[in-house]
Amino acid sequence: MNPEFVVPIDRLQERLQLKLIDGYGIMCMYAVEEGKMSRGIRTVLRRDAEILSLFTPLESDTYDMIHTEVPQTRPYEREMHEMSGLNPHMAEHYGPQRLQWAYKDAYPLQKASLPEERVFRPIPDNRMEGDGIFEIPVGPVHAGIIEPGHFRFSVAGEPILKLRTHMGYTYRGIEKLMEGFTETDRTRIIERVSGDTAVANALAYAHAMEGETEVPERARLLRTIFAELERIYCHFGDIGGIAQDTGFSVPAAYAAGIKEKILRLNEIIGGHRFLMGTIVPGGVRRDISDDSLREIQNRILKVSFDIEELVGMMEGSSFLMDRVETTGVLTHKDAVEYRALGPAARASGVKTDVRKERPYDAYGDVGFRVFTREKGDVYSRMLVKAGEIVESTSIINQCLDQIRPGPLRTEVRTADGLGLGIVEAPRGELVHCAEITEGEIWRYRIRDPSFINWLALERALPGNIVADFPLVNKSFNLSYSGNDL
Amino acid sequence: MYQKTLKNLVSDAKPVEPFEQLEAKRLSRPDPNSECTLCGRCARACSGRAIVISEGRWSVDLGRCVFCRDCYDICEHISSVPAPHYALRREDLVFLAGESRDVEGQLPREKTKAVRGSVAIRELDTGSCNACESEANARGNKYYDMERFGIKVTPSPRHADALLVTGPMTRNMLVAAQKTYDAVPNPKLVVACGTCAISGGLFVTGDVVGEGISDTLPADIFVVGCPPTPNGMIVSLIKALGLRH
Repeated sequence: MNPEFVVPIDRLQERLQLKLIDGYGIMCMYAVEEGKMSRGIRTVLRRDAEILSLFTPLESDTYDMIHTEVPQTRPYEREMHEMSGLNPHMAEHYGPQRLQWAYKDAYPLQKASLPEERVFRPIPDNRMEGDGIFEIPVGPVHAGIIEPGHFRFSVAGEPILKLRTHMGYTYRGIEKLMEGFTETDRTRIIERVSGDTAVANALAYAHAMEGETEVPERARLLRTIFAELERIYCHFGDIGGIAQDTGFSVPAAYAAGIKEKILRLNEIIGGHRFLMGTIVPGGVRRDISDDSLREIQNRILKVSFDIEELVGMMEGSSFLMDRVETTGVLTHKDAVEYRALGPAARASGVKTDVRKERPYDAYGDVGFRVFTREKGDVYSRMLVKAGEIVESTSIINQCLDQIRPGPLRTEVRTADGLGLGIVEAPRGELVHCAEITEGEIWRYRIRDPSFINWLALERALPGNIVADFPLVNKSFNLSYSGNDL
Repeated sequence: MYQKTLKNLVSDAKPVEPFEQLEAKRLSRPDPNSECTLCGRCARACSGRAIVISEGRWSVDLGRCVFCRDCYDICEHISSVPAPHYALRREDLVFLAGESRDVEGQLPREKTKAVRGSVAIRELDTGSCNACESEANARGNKYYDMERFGIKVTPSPRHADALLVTGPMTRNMLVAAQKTYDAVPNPKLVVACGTCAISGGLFVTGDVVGEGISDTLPADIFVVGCPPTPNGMIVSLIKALGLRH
């Protein structure tokens, strides 16, 4: 198992700073309740395949904040303050992260029963002020068919000076629902954390529960195929969305058609359009017939032509290129400082991919390239996604070559300790941490890539015009429900 | 380049599916055969607590079912039968063993006064997992093409005849949802779309308000599925509102 170190709270900030200089990145940070475990803060860091988990015991709920010196920890400290009741004096400056209706003298993840009474916490009005500077509030109900979120733009004329995102509208309390005995299969809930990341979430949950269990080879290959199919339809949706938001409807309709074909393929092979209910801890739920495998192969062959045509169509249009180039630039410096994840980071020149750095399932047995671009604009993100689709088809083909009949499932014996599931979801590195003690999940933490990338979006937007916001937002394609849980 | 692509798009052998084909594609629901001993294994395996065995009767509530098919895996006596696309009353979604009835009725005329040949809908997400949104977006693609039936998505609730509500109604969305509902002009319809909206689904024990949206907004049509299929959403609107097809 991964080494675990105990770090006292007054040394934590310094230790994290040193580790970040060493090339580690903070993957997840959360507080653990008192009871079967001692109260404290868990920090999980990663450098390539190397995982480091730090535990910081807490005597009291108040401590000196870490994020003043280590900016990567800011979203995590806000989360710990809100969900686990740490640092009650933490500046109200940021406003609620998820919990707009807070409990009085209580917090959602406490083990004692929660009071009925709720207190409304308004969004703080710390707008930018100056001559000709206005604030445009948008949401939570948007014009399109998307999820709810609230945005506040500070604008001087057209250009955006500052964007503040306020989330929490889809907060359903999933982390609390995940607690309890490990025998209960919670895959149904975990698949519905974020509908279009169902496979990645189920996979991360399975890894967290499996620990050292060896999964049969056929199951590993099938899991990889499912995960890549999900990546393909997600990325097609994004690229089509970019075309849609520039008003170029031919490629948008084209991409929607291809996405639909992949969803129908999913229905044939897995019985569900979003492949929910295909992955279980210990393997996969049911087998795929040879006919279906051939069906995948045929469909995937067409996909690599489709993406070439789609990108060619979009690149051939000068007005679309005018919109996407140099729009919404996430600089390399910001991407590193905030530890941006997934295609957003890769488009800014950060070569990060869990599939390569810490191979899981069958990713160690297949060859593929990690796509990076340097500029960090919408166009780069589009190209990275297009490149990933091509690599995904190659991965699926390699898996189909290797697949042999064999068992699909093994018995899972969940060990006590820290269960980790780290998966490259279509949006980036997805982390599930399960604190398991005496056969019970004491704390379950889901860290969706969107949780970090919303901050990256806030950094990428200033300087662009308001009309470009949907475009930049679509190129990041962040999950609201995955962020809110 | 465009010509080639347009040719490709057009030559795709007219992918638009006729209404009959959309209607025929249905989700499946579990139904035990006569050999069912009411042992309760399926009820225990049901994540959504949709299958209930009480007073010697087996029943499944499609408003709670997440269509995961765990019950088929666990018991050989359970077979799959086609599920309805929608129902007009919540209690119509509860099916007993061996029961089959047509619940896909049409709304009374006074409710559909605003709808004459076409309907403008406004989508409202009250905390769904974005699978419903993805499917709602898919209704516009070339296979389903809902606009040919007169179903149109409007950006503003002011222009809407119906609200399509997804998600279990989270506490944070409550005020926004009520304001959106108030903004829709009368007469208005509410479509509860998906298991979360109908009953709260798997999140009913989480931090949500009531069981589904019915406690907050008066739902007129209940579209089943987790998520409902694009054709299910289209067929529900057409049949319940009596649109031409």
